[in-house]
Amino acid sequence: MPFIDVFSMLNTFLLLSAVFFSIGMFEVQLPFFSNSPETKQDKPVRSLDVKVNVEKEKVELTTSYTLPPANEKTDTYDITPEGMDRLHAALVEIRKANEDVKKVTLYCEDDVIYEQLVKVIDEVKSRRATDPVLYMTEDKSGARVETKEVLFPQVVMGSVVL
Amino acid sequence: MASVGGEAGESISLNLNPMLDIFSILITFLLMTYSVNPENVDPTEGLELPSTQTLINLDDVPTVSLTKSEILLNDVKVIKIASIVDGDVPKADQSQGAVYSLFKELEKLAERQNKTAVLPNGEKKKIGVLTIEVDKNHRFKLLKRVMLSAQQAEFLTIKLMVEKPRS
Repeated sequence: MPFIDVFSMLNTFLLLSAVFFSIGMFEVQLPFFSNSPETKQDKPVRSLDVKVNVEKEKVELTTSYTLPPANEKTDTYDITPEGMDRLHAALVEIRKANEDVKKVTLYCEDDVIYEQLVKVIDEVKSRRATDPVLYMTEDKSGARVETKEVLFPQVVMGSVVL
Repeated sequence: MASVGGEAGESISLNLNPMLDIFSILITFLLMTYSVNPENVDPTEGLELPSTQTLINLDDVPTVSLTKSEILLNDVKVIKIASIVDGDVPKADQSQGAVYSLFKELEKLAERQNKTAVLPNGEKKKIGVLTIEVDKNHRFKLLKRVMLSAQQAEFLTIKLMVEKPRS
């Protein structure tokens, strides 16, 4: 029967090309020192600095402003599903209140297991389907666009310095 | 229904309907999971990736793999970490916080990439990007050494390979 022949061929092709293990990635930036001259701004801008410090069993989220008053605020979260939910909710609130904040500096202690670090980066970078609609100003065009997949697009590994 | 004749003249019939049902279900499943993404990577042997919610696909960039016992650059062994002590590379291979042999290999790779950064059509290739696949049980100490090696070789954008959910 030609019908069965077609099915068999299609099955063989699809089975051979099937991907049973799906791989993705997170993009993180490494800090670097440049010897190019510093660009001077006319007036320093007061912006929010977001830092995440990953320890073996907990995560510290610190926010402070670059100009006085710094209004530094630190919250601690456990590395548990509930703790990670609370961390994500706190980060969503920060993004909602500060649309222009795109960068999070991440510090990590040496003894943290990579799987735990990835969990934290996941909460910092990925936007969940249940999150409210978030907007971001594009660097090039200056247009206000909706962020679909990422919460904070830029994660800088602050601990990777000599 | 297909049938064949036996020696004594009796015919044996074969019911193909259940087979067609199985084929249909299998094809539906395979078509739903079919991926058109050309970057399909087999994780390095002896390495288990952590799972995440990320939706970003892979790019074709150099890869450093940190398996349970080795550090590989583009599938070529750079250092054996079987002699690992407290999740770290041997002292002889450490230099300024980095893994010296890996830094040397990455430096060579960066040089080669810089030479071929501009394509014949004038387009610039993305350089300074490195993918790192790490076994989920390694400590950050080791990843930091690899990242420092990458940083010193001017690879400043790091893509951490993870297992992502099926869409």
